[in-house]
Amino acid sequence: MPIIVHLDVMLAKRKMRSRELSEHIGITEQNVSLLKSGKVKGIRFDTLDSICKALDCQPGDLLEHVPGNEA
Amino acid sequence: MANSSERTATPADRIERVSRLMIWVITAGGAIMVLAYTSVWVVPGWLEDAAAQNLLGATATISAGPVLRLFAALIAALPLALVLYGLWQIRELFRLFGDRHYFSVDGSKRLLRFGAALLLAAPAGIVTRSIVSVLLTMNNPEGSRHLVVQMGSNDYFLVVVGGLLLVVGWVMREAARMQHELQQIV
Repeated sequence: MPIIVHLDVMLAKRKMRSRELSEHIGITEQNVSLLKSGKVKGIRFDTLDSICKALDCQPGDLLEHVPGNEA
Repeated sequence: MANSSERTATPADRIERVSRLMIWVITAGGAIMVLAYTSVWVVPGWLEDAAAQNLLGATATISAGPVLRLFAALIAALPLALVLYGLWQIRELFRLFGDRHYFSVDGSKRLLRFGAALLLAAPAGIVTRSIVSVLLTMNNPEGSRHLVVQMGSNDYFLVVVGGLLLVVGWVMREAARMQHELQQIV
Protein backbone atom coordinates (compact mmCIF):
# COMPACT_ATOMS: atom_id res chain seq x y z
CA MET A 1 0.00 0.00 0.00
CA PRO A 2 1.56 3.35 -0.98
CA ILE A 3 -0.07 5.04 2.07
CA ILE A 4 2.06 4.71 5.20
CA VAL A 5 0.42 5.32 8.59
CA HIS A 6 2.63 7.05 11.15
CA LEU A 7 0.22 6.68 14.05
CA ASP A 8 2.79 4.81 16.15
CA VAL A 9 5.26 7.70 15.68
CA MET A 10 2.66 10.29 16.71
CA LEU A 11 1.62 8.22 19.72
CA ALA A 12 5.27 8.03 20.80
CA LYS A 13 5.71 11.79 20.29
CA ARG A 14 2.64 12.52 22.41
CA LYS A 15 3.59 9.78 24.92
CA MET A 16 0.13 8.28 24.57
CA ARG A 17 -0.74 4.60 24.68
CA SER A 18 -3.00 2.89 22.13
CA ARG A 19 -5.57 2.11 24.81
CA GLU A 20 -5.71 5.76 25.85
CA LEU A 21 -6.22 6.84 22.23
CA SER A 22 -8.90 4.23 21.66
CA GLU A 23 -10.78 5.52 24.73
CA HIS A 24 -10.42 9.12 23.45
CA ILE A 25 -11.71 8.46 19.95
CA GLY A 26 -14.22 5.72 20.71
CA ILE A 27 -12.90 2.87 18.54
CA THR A 28 -11.61 -0.46 19.78
CA GLU A 29 -7.97 -0.95 20.73
CA GLN A 30 -7.87 -3.73 18.13
CA ASN A 31 -8.83 -1.23 15.41
CA VAL A 32 -6.21 1.24 16.64
CA SER A 33 -3.67 -1.59 16.45
CA LEU A 34 -4.79 -2.44 12.87
CA LEU A 35 -4.54 1.24 11.94
CA LYS A 36 -1.03 1.48 13.44
CA SER A 37 0.13 -1.50 11.42
CA GLY A 38 -1.52 -0.18 8.24
CA LYS A 39 -3.64 -3.32 7.91
CA VAL A 40 -6.80 -1.42 7.02
CA LYS A 41 -8.34 -0.53 3.68
CA GLY A 42 -9.43 2.93 4.74
CA ILE A 43 -10.00 5.45 7.48
CA ARG A 44 -13.20 7.45 7.99
CA PHE A 45 -12.93 11.24 8.07
CA ASP A 46 -14.55 11.35 11.51
CA THR A 47 -12.01 8.81 12.85
CA LEU A 48 -9.21 10.91 11.36
CA ASP A 49 -10.77 14.04 12.89
CA SER A 50 -10.94 12.36 16.33
CA ILE A 51 -7.31 11.17 16.11
CA CYS A 52 -6.11 14.61 15.03
CA LYS A 53 -7.98 16.18 17.97
CA ALA A 54 -6.66 13.60 20.46
CA LEU A 55 -3.04 13.86 19.25
CA ASP A 56 -3.18 17.57 18.36
CA CYS A 57 -1.82 16.96 14.87
CA GLN A 58 -2.69 17.23 11.19
CA PRO A 59 -3.71 14.36 8.84
CA GLY A 60 -0.36 14.85 7.09
CA ASP A 61 1.43 13.99 10.33
CA LEU A 62 -0.34 10.62 10.35
CA LEU A 63 -0.37 9.63 6.69
CA GLU A 64 2.33 9.64 4.05
CA HIS A 65 2.13 8.69 0.39
CA VAL A 66 5.15 6.69 -0.79
CA PRO A 67 4.99 6.20 -4.58
CA GLY A 68 5.87 2.73 -5.76
CA ASN A 69 5.29 1.08 -2.37
CA GLU A 70 2.65 -1.38 -3.60
CA ALA A 71 3.41 -4.29 -1.21
CA MET B 1 -47.17 2.83 30.55
CA ALA B 2 -44.51 0.54 29.18
CA ASN B 3 -42.09 -0.99 31.62
CA SER B 4 -38.76 0.81 31.19
CA SER B 5 -36.88 -2.49 31.64
CA GLU B 6 -38.64 -3.93 28.57
CA ARG B 7 -36.40 -3.56 25.54
CA THR B 8 -38.05 -2.62 22.27
CA ALA B 9 -37.56 -5.38 19.68
CA THR B 10 -35.03 -4.29 17.08
CA PRO B 11 -35.19 -5.40 13.41
CA ALA B 12 -32.35 -7.83 14.26
CA ASP B 13 -34.50 -9.37 17.03
CA ARG B 14 -37.36 -9.78 14.58
CA ILE B 15 -35.10 -11.38 11.96
CA GLU B 16 -33.75 -13.79 14.58
CA ARG B 17 -37.22 -14.72 15.87
CA VAL B 18 -38.76 -15.30 12.42
CA SER B 19 -35.65 -17.17 11.21
CA ARG B 20 -35.79 -19.57 14.16
CA LEU B 21 -39.49 -20.16 13.44
CA MET B 22 -38.81 -20.73 9.74
CA ILE B 23 -36.22 -23.42 10.56
CA TRP B 24 -39.01 -25.41 12.22
CA VAL B 25 -41.51 -24.65 9.43
CA ILE B 26 -39.03 -25.87 6.78
CA THR B 27 -38.05 -28.97 8.76
CA ALA B 28 -41.71 -29.89 9.31
CA GLY B 29 -42.60 -29.10 5.67
CA GLY B 30 -39.78 -31.29 4.35
CA ALA B 31 -40.82 -34.19 6.60
CA ILE B 32 -44.47 -33.86 5.50
CA MET B 33 -43.41 -33.82 1.82
CA VAL B 34 -41.40 -37.03 2.22
CA LEU B 35 -44.23 -38.67 4.17
CA ALA B 36 -46.87 -37.65 1.60
CA TYR B 37 -44.70 -38.77 -1.32
CA THR B 38 -43.96 -42.16 0.27
CA SER B 39 -47.63 -42.66 1.16
CA VAL B 40 -48.72 -42.10 -2.46
CA TRP B 41 -46.47 -44.95 -3.60
CA VAL B 42 -46.94 -47.30 -0.64
CA VAL B 43 -50.57 -46.99 0.49
CA PRO B 44 -52.83 -49.09 -1.82
CA GLY B 45 -55.12 -46.98 -4.00
CA TRP B 46 -53.39 -43.65 -3.30
CA LEU B 47 -51.25 -43.78 -6.47
CA GLU B 48 -54.35 -44.43 -8.60
CA ASP B 49 -56.17 -41.52 -6.97
CA ALA B 50 -53.20 -39.16 -7.29
CA ALA B 51 -52.60 -40.16 -10.93
CA ALA B 52 -56.28 -39.76 -11.78
CA GLN B 53 -56.39 -36.28 -10.25
CA ASN B 54 -53.03 -34.89 -11.32
CA LEU B 55 -51.57 -36.86 -14.23
CA LEU B 56 -53.58 -39.34 -16.25
CA GLY B 57 -57.17 -38.27 -15.82
CA ALA B 58 -60.11 -40.04 -14.16
CA THR B 59 -60.66 -42.67 -16.87
CA ALA B 60 -57.11 -44.00 -17.05
CA THR B 61 -56.05 -47.22 -15.40
CA ILE B 62 -52.63 -48.19 -14.04
CA SER B 63 -51.49 -51.69 -14.89
CA ALA B 64 -47.82 -51.34 -13.91
CA GLY B 65 -46.40 -54.06 -11.68
CA PRO B 66 -44.25 -53.54 -8.57
CA VAL B 67 -40.97 -53.20 -10.51
CA LEU B 68 -42.33 -50.55 -12.88
CA ARG B 69 -43.94 -48.75 -9.94
CA LEU B 70 -40.60 -48.76 -8.12
CA PHE B 71 -38.87 -47.30 -11.20
CA ALA B 72 -41.60 -44.68 -11.54
CA ALA B 73 -41.30 -43.82 -7.83
CA LEU B 74 -37.53 -43.36 -8.12
CA ILE B 75 -37.87 -41.14 -11.20
CA ALA B 76 -40.71 -39.12 -9.70
CA ALA B 77 -38.53 -38.54 -6.63
CA LEU B 78 -36.07 -36.40 -8.63
CA PRO B 79 -38.01 -33.10 -8.49
CA LEU B 80 -38.82 -33.80 -4.82
CA ALA B 81 -35.12 -34.40 -4.11
CA LEU B 82 -34.31 -31.07 -5.76
CA VAL B 83 -36.92 -29.25 -3.69
CA LEU B 84 -35.70 -30.96 -0.48
CA TYR B 85 -32.12 -30.00 -1.33
CA GLY B 86 -33.30 -26.41 -1.85
CA LEU B 87 -35.23 -26.47 1.41
CA TRP B 88 -32.14 -27.72 3.27
CA GLN B 89 -30.14 -24.83 1.82
CA ILE B 90 -32.76 -22.28 2.83
CA ARG B 91 -32.97 -23.86 6.31
CA GLU B 92 -29.23 -23.31 6.71
CA LEU B 93 -29.67 -19.75 5.42
CA PHE B 94 -32.29 -19.09 8.12
CA ARG B 95 -29.88 -20.57 10.68
CA LEU B 96 -27.27 -17.99 9.58
CA PHE B 97 -29.87 -15.19 9.80
CA GLY B 98 -30.88 -16.50 13.23
CA ASP B 99 -27.24 -16.20 14.31
CA ARG B 100 -27.30 -12.62 12.94
CA HIS B 101 -24.95 -13.29 10.03
CA TYR B 102 -26.79 -11.39 7.31
CA PHE B 103 -24.27 -10.83 4.54
CA SER B 104 -21.97 -13.81 4.40
CA VAL B 105 -20.41 -15.70 1.52
CA ASP B 106 -21.93 -18.89 2.92
CA GLY B 107 -25.39 -17.27 3.00
CA SER B 108 -25.16 -16.15 -0.62
CA LYS B 109 -24.07 -19.67 -1.64
CA ARG B 110 -27.10 -21.15 0.14
CA LEU B 111 -29.46 -18.76 -1.63
CA LEU B 112 -27.83 -19.47 -5.01
CA ARG B 113 -28.21 -23.21 -4.47
CA PHE B 114 -31.88 -22.79 -3.47
CA GLY B 115 -32.55 -20.71 -6.58
CA ALA B 116 -30.77 -23.25 -8.80
CA ALA B 117 -32.71 -26.12 -7.21
CA LEU B 118 -36.04 -24.38 -7.90
CA LEU B 119 -34.99 -23.55 -11.46
CA LEU B 120 -34.07 -27.19 -12.11
CA ALA B 121 -37.16 -28.55 -10.33
CA ALA B 122 -39.45 -27.08 -13.01
CA PRO B 123 -37.99 -28.87 -16.08
CA ALA B 124 -37.28 -31.94 -13.95
CA GLY B 125 -40.97 -32.04 -13.00
CA ILE B 126 -42.10 -31.76 -16.63
CA VAL B 127 -39.75 -34.53 -17.82
CA THR B 128 -40.36 -36.90 -14.90
CA ARG B 129 -44.15 -36.56 -15.18
CA SER B 130 -43.91 -37.65 -18.81
CA ILE B 131 -41.65 -40.63 -17.96
CA VAL B 132 -43.86 -41.67 -15.03
CA SER B 133 -47.00 -41.52 -17.20
CA VAL B 134 -45.34 -43.89 -19.70
CA LEU B 135 -44.05 -46.28 -17.00
CA LEU B 136 -47.39 -46.50 -15.18
CA THR B 137 -49.40 -47.24 -18.34
CA MET B 138 -46.93 -49.17 -20.50
CA ASN B 139 -48.58 -52.51 -19.62
CA ASN B 140 -52.03 -51.16 -20.50
CA PRO B 141 -53.70 -52.49 -23.66
CA GLU B 142 -52.96 -50.59 -26.86
CA GLY B 143 -54.93 -47.39 -27.08
CA SER B 144 -54.95 -46.78 -23.35
CA ARG B 145 -51.26 -46.10 -22.88
CA HIS B 146 -50.34 -42.54 -22.00
CA LEU B 147 -47.56 -40.09 -22.65
CA VAL B 148 -48.39 -36.99 -20.66
CA VAL B 149 -46.64 -33.71 -21.37
CA GLN B 150 -47.84 -31.38 -18.69
CA MET B 151 -46.70 -27.87 -17.92
CA GLY B 152 -48.60 -25.71 -15.49
CA SER B 153 -48.43 -22.30 -13.86
CA ASN B 154 -46.58 -23.91 -10.90
CA ASP B 155 -43.68 -24.78 -13.22
CA TYR B 156 -43.66 -21.23 -14.55
CA PHE B 157 -43.60 -19.74 -11.05
CA LEU B 158 -40.81 -22.13 -10.01
CA VAL B 159 -38.72 -20.77 -12.89
CA VAL B 160 -39.56 -17.14 -12.04
CA VAL B 161 -38.90 -17.54 -8.28
CA GLY B 162 -35.80 -19.67 -8.92
CA GLY B 163 -34.41 -17.02 -11.29
CA LEU B 164 -35.21 -14.27 -8.81
CA LEU B 165 -33.46 -16.10 -5.96
CA LEU B 166 -30.45 -16.79 -8.15
CA VAL B 167 -30.09 -13.06 -8.84
CA VAL B 168 -30.73 -12.15 -5.18
CA GLY B 169 -28.00 -14.68 -4.29
CA TRP B 170 -25.54 -12.87 -6.57
CA VAL B 171 -26.61 -9.52 -5.05
CA MET B 172 -26.08 -10.99 -1.58
CA ARG B 173 -22.60 -12.19 -2.56
CA GLU B 174 -21.82 -8.63 -3.65
CA ALA B 175 -23.23 -7.30 -0.36
CA ALA B 176 -21.03 -9.77 1.58
CA ARG B 177 -17.99 -8.51 -0.32
CA MET B 178 -18.93 -4.88 0.43
CA GLN B 179 -19.52 -5.63 4.10
CA HIS B 180 -16.12 -7.34 4.32
CA GLU B 181 -14.55 -4.23 2.77
CA LEU B 182 -16.43 -1.94 5.18
CA GLN B 183 -15.11 -3.97 8.11
CA GLN B 184 -11.60 -3.05 6.97
CA ILE B 185 -12.35 0.65 7.22
CA VAL B 186 -11.91 2.13 10.72
